[in-house]
Amino acid sequence: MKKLDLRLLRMIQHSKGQYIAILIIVITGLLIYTAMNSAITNLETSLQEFYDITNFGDVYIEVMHFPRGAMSEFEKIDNVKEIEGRIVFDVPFISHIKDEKVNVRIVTVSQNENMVNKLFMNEGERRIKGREIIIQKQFAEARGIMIGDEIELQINGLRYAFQIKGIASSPEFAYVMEDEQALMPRPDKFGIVFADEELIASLTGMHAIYNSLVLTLNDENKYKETGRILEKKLDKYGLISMIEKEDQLSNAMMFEEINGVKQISGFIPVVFLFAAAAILAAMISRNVKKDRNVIGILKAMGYSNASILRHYTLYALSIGVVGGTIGILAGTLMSGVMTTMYQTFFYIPVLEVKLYPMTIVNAILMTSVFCTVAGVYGARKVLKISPAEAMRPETPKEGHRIMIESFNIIWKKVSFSWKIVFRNIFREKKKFLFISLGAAITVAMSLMTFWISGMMDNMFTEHYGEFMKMDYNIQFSKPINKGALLDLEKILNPDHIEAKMEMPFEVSNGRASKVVNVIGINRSTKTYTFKDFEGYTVNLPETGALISYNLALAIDAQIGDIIKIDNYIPGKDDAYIRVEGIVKQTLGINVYMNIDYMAETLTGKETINGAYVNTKQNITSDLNHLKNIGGVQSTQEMQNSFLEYLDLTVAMVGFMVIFSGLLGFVIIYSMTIMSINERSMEFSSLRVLGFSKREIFSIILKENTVMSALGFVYGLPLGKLMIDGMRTVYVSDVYTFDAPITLKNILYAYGFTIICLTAAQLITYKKIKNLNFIEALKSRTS
Amino acid sequence: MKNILYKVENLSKHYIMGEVVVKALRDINFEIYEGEFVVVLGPSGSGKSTLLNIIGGMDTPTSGRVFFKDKEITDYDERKLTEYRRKDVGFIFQFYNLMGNLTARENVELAVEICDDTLDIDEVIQAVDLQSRANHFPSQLSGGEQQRVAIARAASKNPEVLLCDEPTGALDFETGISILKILKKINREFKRTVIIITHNTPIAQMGDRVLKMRSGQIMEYYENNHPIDPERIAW
Repeated sequence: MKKLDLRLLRMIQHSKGQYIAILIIVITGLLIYTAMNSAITNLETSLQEFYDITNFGDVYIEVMHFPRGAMSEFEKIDNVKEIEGRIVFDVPFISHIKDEKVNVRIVTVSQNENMVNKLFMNEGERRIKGREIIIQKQFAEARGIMIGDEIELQINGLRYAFQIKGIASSPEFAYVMEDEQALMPRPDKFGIVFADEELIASLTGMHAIYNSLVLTLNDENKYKETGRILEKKLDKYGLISMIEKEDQLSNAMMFEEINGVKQISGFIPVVFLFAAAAILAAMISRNVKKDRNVIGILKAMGYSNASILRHYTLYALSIGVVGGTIGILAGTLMSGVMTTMYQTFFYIPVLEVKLYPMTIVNAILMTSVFCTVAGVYGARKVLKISPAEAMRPETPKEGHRIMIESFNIIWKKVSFSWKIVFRNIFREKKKFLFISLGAAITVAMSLMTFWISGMMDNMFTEHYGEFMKMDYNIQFSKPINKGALLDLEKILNPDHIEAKMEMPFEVSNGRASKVVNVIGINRSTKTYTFKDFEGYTVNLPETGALISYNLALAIDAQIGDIIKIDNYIPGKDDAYIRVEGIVKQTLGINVYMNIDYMAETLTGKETINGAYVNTKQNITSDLNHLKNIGGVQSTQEMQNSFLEYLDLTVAMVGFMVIFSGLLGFVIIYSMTIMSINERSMEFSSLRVLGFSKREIFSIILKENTVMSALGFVYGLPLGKLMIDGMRTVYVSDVYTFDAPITLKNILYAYGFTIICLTAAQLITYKKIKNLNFIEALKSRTS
Repeated sequence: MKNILYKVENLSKHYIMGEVVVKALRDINFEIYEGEFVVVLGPSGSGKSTLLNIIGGMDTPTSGRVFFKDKEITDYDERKLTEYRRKDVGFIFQFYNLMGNLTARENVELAVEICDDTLDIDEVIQAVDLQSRANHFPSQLSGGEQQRVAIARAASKNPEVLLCDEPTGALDFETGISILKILKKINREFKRTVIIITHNTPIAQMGDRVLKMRSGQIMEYYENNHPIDPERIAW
């Protein structure tokens, strides 16, 4: 081994604490990058493969009654490749657990094979007849249902037994949510069953009639044109909604997650690598300064600038290569864990953990570039060192008074050790900036983490406790007369009940449009509390509409704008409605209207399709026996399943807290160790003067505390900036991250940062304790 | 007929320190011949280290020329100067300047591995009588031992000339003498030119040629026809 490389190895060994500290930062950055990227690439490629295998549909249409006979006419529409009709509706699944409410969505399929959205068979057979059904894998697993088992479903108030013939996955339900309000899958409470079309038609009376169509297109890019033709032709069949693949709930949720993780995986590792690069550059630059004499000797011996520059840059590069390799390996292992975690929510049967050479190459390149640039930048002064000058002792820096010294009255009262502290702080501006930045980054990242944690916690309590105050949300299987609410009230005897009309419509403002559920409720509603972003209550207007904040963003609408609602209901015209308010809504994306105004402008009749109920009783068993009940959501159950989901968030937040603490710890630790090494002569002189080790350590502690204090000040706006970034990234159709930064968040962030920074400094005390002051004073070796 | 190793012509070096111009070398001229043991004598601040740095290719003059074997080194660019320091010159410093995290032997190897035509490391280590201490780190060696490592490091490259800047300055009398003996041995046995700069007048007695300096000028330059052995020097 070349002796310069040997020197490098021993240099690493000598400064192993710092080396390991920076290594951890690089490993962490690379681990996050590789884990997230590999997991997301696993998800994305497997999803595409799954879509290809199963011929995932391009357009999803909900319609009142579409006759089978009309199919041939639609097949001929330009750009339509394939079209398939289905009967889709939600029914109660008969659970043997008392008071448990479980729903399944029946999706009819042909007896042999579908053209579009083919079933991917995990077990059993695809061919079904009569009462044989295929059950969706997540639901089967969650409820322990096996092939050959019998399950009971309640269709139109009557119970029917079905035999499980197969367990399958569908591309349409890779991520299964009852609706947009649900936020997450509840595989034990809601599932999908695929049943024979003929059988379901005979049980529901929908002979040769479909209420759902799924199409594939020859050219997906021409969706708009084809959509217009379809819309026109479907008008007479009672078009309810038409959604392109991009907005299909399962697909949209998948890409929501994929894009979110992509953004985070691009941002967080860069923060870590920047931090590592900055520490490296500072450390190497200080090493070069310290090694001025060594560099002079090497040059005197005939070593070229390039080989000396290489020597110091290799230190940084070795961190990049070692850290990169460990980070990539750990990240790849972690990607397996993440992919398995994703399997809990996104079910893709072909999903597998793979090694992606491009991700690895990118990671190695990224870390090598960061570390090499840091190394070269830090070591650049090597080029300027003249060997003759390096042999002479360095000229002492020109001394000058610091600003605070001009305030004589104050300065006189400052103790000697504090004078040393202030002078050092103001003379070492780069170190000042660095340490304060370390504290600021830790404050900012932990603030963001505690904010996320608090926000996730609040998201549900705010949505289901303050925004929506009902205990149950009942969905009827079809629109019924308003008068039926009285019957329901008599049966349930609730504390409060009110009607709702909820239907999907395409809402547009200019060129931007979005398919969302428009909800009609009483103006005097007791189940909703609308508030704007300032926290002021907003009343439901008599005319016009309130829209959720994420919808306002999606279609770029403001108060006073006239939005267009495309009306699919036969005989009804499109409506132009004024936005009367934009309301805060953490979950879901909706338009809210006075139910009477909605009937007048959109739905036309005095019909309702659901009810909100407030009651302390469990009404699920009462509802099980009723006809026309499509589904029931209990707020309590939603919150319970959210708590399970929160476990994952807690784990994620835990990791984030560790990572952010690590960053601050490493920055403070590295800078303090560097400072102690450089100032060994100064500390030795203080020892000779009679200072104790503790007193010397307290000087360092005081310096770092003052420098960190500034970081605590600008850490807050930095954290707010990160949180605003998160808010922008995570505004979606399903949820809005809009929680305010609370005093509790700030106190937690400060407390956590203080713990990390104190720990980093206490560890450096060992260095002071072990510093050989006599050796430092007489040392002449390099 | 002796061959000229160094020819120095009208060499001057000025430093600007704030508003003051320090004239470290003032238009000096001299020649050094191959195989000689030259002592540059002068008090602190006389310009002897500056002179050594310039003829060693570590520094550049303000004016004047230095020829090394007929080649003008003052005309060299950075790359050529590096090459010159690598192949033709070996430096020895007052404070040894060893690499603290390399052993004695590794310090010698550090110099050898960038040169082509080098001496056998074991032979050089034996010549400086460091066989038993070769695997020790500098912190485990005495000052004299460290200086012997520095000599071995400079000599092992097999350079044309050894440039020694106050090699005994940090050592006690006896250790200093032992170092001088080694340098003389290298001069005699390995036929290398040795240039020593020192403020210690008695050392001048062992030089084949003595160059006395003061205030950046040569005060005296003479050939010593009867150089004495280091053992006979006393200070």
